[in-house]
Amino acid sequence: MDSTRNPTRIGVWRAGCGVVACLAWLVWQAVGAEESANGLYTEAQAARGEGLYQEYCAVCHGARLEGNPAAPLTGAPFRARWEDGRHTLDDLYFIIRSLMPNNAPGSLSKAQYADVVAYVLKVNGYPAGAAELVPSPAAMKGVTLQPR
Amino acid sequence: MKRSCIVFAASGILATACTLAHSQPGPTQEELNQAFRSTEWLLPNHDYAGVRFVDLKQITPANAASLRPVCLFQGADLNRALNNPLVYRGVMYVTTLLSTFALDPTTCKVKWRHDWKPKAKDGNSSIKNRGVAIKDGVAVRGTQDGYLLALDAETGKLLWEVKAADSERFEALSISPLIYEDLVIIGPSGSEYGVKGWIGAFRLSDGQPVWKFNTIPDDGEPGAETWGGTDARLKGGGGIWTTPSLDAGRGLIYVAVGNPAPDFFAAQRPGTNLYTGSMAVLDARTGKLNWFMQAVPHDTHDWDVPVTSPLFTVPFGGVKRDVVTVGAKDGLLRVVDRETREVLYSVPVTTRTNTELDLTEEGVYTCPGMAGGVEWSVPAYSPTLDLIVVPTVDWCGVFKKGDELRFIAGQQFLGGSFTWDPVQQSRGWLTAVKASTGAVVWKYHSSRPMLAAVTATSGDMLFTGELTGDFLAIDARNGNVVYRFNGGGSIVGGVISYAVNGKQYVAVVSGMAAGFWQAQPGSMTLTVFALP
Repeated sequence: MDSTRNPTRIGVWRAGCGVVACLAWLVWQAVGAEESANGLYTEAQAARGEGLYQEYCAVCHGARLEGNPAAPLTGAPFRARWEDGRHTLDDLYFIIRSLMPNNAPGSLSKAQYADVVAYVLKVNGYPAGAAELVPSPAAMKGVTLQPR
Repeated sequence: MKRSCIVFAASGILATACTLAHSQPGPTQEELNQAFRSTEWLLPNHDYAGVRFVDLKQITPANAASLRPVCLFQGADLNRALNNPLVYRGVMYVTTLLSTFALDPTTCKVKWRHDWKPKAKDGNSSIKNRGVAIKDGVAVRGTQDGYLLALDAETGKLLWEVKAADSERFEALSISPLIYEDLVIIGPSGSEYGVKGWIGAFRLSDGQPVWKFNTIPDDGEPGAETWGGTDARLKGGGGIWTTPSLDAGRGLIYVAVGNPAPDFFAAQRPGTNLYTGSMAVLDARTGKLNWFMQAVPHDTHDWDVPVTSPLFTVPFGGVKRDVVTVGAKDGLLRVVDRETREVLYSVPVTTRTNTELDLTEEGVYTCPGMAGGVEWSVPAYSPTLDLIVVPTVDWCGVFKKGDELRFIAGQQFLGGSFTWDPVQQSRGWLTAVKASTGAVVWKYHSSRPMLAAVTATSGDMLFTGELTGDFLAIDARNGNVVYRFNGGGSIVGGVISYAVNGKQYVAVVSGMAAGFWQAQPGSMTLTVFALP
């Protein structure tokens, strides 16, 4: 039997589609908000991150994240390397926590690494929010750094 | 060339022949074959055999204390100053990351410059440039975004450009190419970025590809079975960081192949991981593998093989041997018979501790550290003193296997980490080894790792530099420093000696080193020294 010719079933189908579409829209809104990477840290956290950055990172990446001798962490090089729609915030966190600082990788706490990520986001123009960036790979994996 | 002119002039036949000879663009193949006799500097390591020995004896241990800088060239570049200058027919060729310069090697006056504007979005900015190659009036260099450029050596005009390497895979052409006949031989650096290594030849006339040898084999190629599967090979490393040496008589190149990737995550790549950590000996005309020697099988410490020169002939065990010097970041200097392929001797040239232990997530303290060992600056060989002189790094630390393996395009693909000893504990050595026996004759101990090129002369001199920015003139007979001059930036690249109009000069490149060296910063500067 061809179910599409049954008026009752067509109604149920349409209603179901409406619910699915509504849910999809809500999910898209939620993910979209996360994907913007805005509001993911607080000003206080970024300030802590700046202190850590200047102590451990600036010697290679520059006091203003301009790079040299190590890679720049701001401007066009940052956009080209990270904001390409293929990298998540957790990728950035992973590289920082597993390889940095270069002379003693993994020597900071997870919370401190998250603070440094917050500062890098701030310098690159991502606005602060009300909640701190939590050092949770699972949470950060949901945030894709998009071209802007 | 100059010598032949003098002979012609003396015999009265004279200037026409000289003019004709100089009107031909060079260096010719014959001049390159005979570069070991040259008192100029035609190839990155002076000659095809890479001996880094020049027959000049004006500067000696008796007078070197009188050396003085005679000119400076500022490259206005804050990238790593790694390049090897060349000098031919009274013109010096030197590079920065994006620019190529021709200079007067006695006054530092710029003759021409060429500036490259990167075209590829994904160029690997972490990898810099080590210099040009010259032949038949053409200067050829690579770029960080994978291009090979040919410039008119007289004017700097771009003759051709080809996209030779895949910058989207973060392949960067950093080495000084090797030119042999009509072939420009070059391969990409970038093991730490998960490249799949290769070395290839491109036509000097137009840049078109001629042959390619995969340092990480493709499916079905010999050596592919040493990786435990295809996936491991796709990002297997095996980058090229130094210019191959060439045995022109045999038509063979000796290629130094870098470490496997991921550097510290051994489980990803079970097997010996050919041809990483190897010297691959290839037919220069076809790229076909003749033989190989894997010095560091299944490396888990980022211990590349960066040195496959000098080539020389030496009596060993009562028999004359044609040998090749193989140096690795594992801290061993090996001398290998090029005919029998026998390792004649192996000499530790830096501290070696826990070299055989497997990495753990908790960490293993090991020497050498991630920086070696023998780095990119190849040893000098003095035939007059029967010495091989090699610079090394002595900087230990803790290797850790990672708790997670993740490839992120454009980022280092290490699968673990290395924690360096405090920088105050980093040291370096210059070790002189008796070439005919392997015995250590003397050692110079530096306060920092030694990375600069070393040049030997028939005047019993050695010229090199330090991370502190000190240029050193050393008595090659005993390792005593005769003259020291601090030019500011770190010395991690070329140091050469040459003669112009009968006067001996020494040129030294200084500037930036990579950040992890924690070295004296500076803008790229070329300083020329001479006696008053």
